[in-house]
Amino acid sequence: MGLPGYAGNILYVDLTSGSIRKEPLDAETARTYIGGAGINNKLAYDLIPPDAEPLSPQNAIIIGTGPFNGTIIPGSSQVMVIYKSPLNNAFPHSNGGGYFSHFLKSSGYDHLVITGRSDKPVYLKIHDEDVELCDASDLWGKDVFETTDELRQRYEQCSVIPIGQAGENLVNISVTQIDKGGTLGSGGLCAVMGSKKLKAIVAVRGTKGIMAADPKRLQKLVDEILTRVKNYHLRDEMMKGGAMTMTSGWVPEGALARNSSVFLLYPPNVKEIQGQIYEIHKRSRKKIACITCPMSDKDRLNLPERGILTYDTAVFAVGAIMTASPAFGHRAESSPLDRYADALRFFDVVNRFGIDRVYSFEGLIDFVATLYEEGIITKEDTGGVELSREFDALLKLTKMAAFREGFGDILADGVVGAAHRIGKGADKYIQNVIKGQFVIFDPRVSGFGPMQFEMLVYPGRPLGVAAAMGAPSYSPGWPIKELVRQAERCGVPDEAIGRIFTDNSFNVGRLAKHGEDFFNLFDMFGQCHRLYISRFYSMEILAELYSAVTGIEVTPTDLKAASERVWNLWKMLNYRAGFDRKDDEPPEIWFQPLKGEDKEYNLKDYFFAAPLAREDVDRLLDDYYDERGWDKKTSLPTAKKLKELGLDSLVSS
Amino acid sequence: MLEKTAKKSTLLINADASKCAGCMTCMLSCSFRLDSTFNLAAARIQVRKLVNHPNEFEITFTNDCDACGICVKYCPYEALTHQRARKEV
Repeated sequence: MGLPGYAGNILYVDLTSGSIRKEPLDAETARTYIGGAGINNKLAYDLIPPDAEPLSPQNAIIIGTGPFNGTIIPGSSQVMVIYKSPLNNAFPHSNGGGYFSHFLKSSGYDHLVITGRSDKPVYLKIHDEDVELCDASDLWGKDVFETTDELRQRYEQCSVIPIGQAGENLVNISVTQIDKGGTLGSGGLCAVMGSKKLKAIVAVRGTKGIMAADPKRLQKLVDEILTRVKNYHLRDEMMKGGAMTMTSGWVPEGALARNSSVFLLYPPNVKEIQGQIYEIHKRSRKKIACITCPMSDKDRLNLPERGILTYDTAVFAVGAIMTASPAFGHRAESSPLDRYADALRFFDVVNRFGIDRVYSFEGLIDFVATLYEEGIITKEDTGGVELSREFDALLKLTKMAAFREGFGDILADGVVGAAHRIGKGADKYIQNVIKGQFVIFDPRVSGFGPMQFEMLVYPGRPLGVAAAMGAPSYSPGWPIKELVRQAERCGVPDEAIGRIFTDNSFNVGRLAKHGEDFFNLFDMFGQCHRLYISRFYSMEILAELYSAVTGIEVTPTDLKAASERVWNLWKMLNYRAGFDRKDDEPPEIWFQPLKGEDKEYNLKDYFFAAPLAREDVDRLLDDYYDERGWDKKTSLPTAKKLKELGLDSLVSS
Repeated sequence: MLEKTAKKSTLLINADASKCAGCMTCMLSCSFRLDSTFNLAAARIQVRKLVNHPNEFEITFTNDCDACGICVKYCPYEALTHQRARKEV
């Protein structure tokens, strides 16, 4: 155990040959890329050819922890994964909670690299030195929850990354949950696992410890954070309602179906219904925390009167109402209990099969339902399935997609792939899609703030919330003073603040770069960036924690530079796979009015003050690339920038 | 569900697994106190995640737990409470 904060090894598993080996994590790599997403990027750059077929043995699954994982730092639960996505051929990152990151390190491994392809179904078991590929024939065909429970019964204290039927059937829009609660792999991770015949990865709790370089300093910092957490004014209520407590205010006047250009208006008494749903939710919920998390936003949901017992990664008010909205079969007279029960049933089905509801499936269903209503596709195309917006049809289509049955085979390819296969101009109906996934916020409704801008430029997938300045910038219209305070917390240097903010506005493109610098560090450390917990951290606190854990004294400026290095490497990884400025362009639909019942929504800035035309967004993209030191035409990091970050070897590669 | 811990001390720790969210902060704090290392396996308090259990988790203590109470201090969910043990008559 040499490096404080690290387990000290990288585990390599080749499924083709069955070879398993470990190599020491060298100190220089750890210092340069820190860990998590940082070292993942380095491994992916070195090991996955840019033109690798995502579902071929050439693709690798790279799983990484960071130096905070394994410690008591609140929220240090996240494990990172990178692979080449079968959905869009990019290299998306994703992270997930549960216990996996800590349990992997407790066996002595910081990173895990899985290559090749097995002939028969296997699962990978990791328990200290005992690393084994085990026969998974009896697990093949089981869903995400069944697989997790079965493996838990075999190994008791273990953490499981399983795949459901969607992964087995190479569904591009597959996703999984670690330990029945931590979503992982939006972009088709499970299809990649399925192509390798890898049913699950099991990290059994090991016996190795993680040292901190300065235990007393670390303890003091953790104590201060926990005190602030416990005194947080919304915490008591959140312990009852989970994520729904904090997202109830996000419910707008109507639900925007992801693909649609129209609002599906909520009933006039939506607030009342929402309040009733919230009460049902609170009595149904058992709070579940990822390891080290004092905010417990995972849910076990028990609705015995409807025979429902399920788990979810965090039930949001918006999701619960939307799922029972007209897009998905809600009847206007549905009671709050009916709506909530329908939502849970749907969540249960998609989570068990392992389908990505949030970034793909909800929008996809709306997309094909629209095509059906427009006569672009008929019953002949769907194999006789009535593509109605009824709840039963939704459940039927979910199963068809998971098993690639009939029309479900087309759905399984994701919206871009589906449009291509349908033909007949179906691609013209794709809306609100960036890099092959649906965005979660339409900026015509929510304003063009840091989160919405981030959806454009985030490499690999349109993730907005993970790197976008954090709360309070998620909600539109906060005063400039608050936003500047927020920027200072996130380590934006004074000279940049002067460049970004005016008295009554800010440059969202330039600001986005700095949000990325801050939140990328969470992904490098193994820290959760959800707002409930990340709000208690600042760039200074992160620098203090990193110094205390590893013994490497850093300043916020040092950390920011390390983060920028890792982000540029990630950008190069995606650029090399063909992703450039054209992939960061906004969807055309954003520049057309969104028609509500009695008003129109148009793209405006974060304050809903200034209308934004396409040229304005293009200029903001220019500013973002300029702030990053990237070429404005191509988005390629300049040689100067790469050299400045010590990435000389990537120049003109 | 209440479970008791060591006899060595005049203190004891009550655990209420129905309040436990499974964050295992108690285990990390325990092992850290013992030898400044975070080691779940070495902790004298053990939180186990169970399949099909109404509480989801079970909390137990090893025989060498001395009821120091560090786990009580760090539990964010008030699932652990520290009490002075009644003298056995």
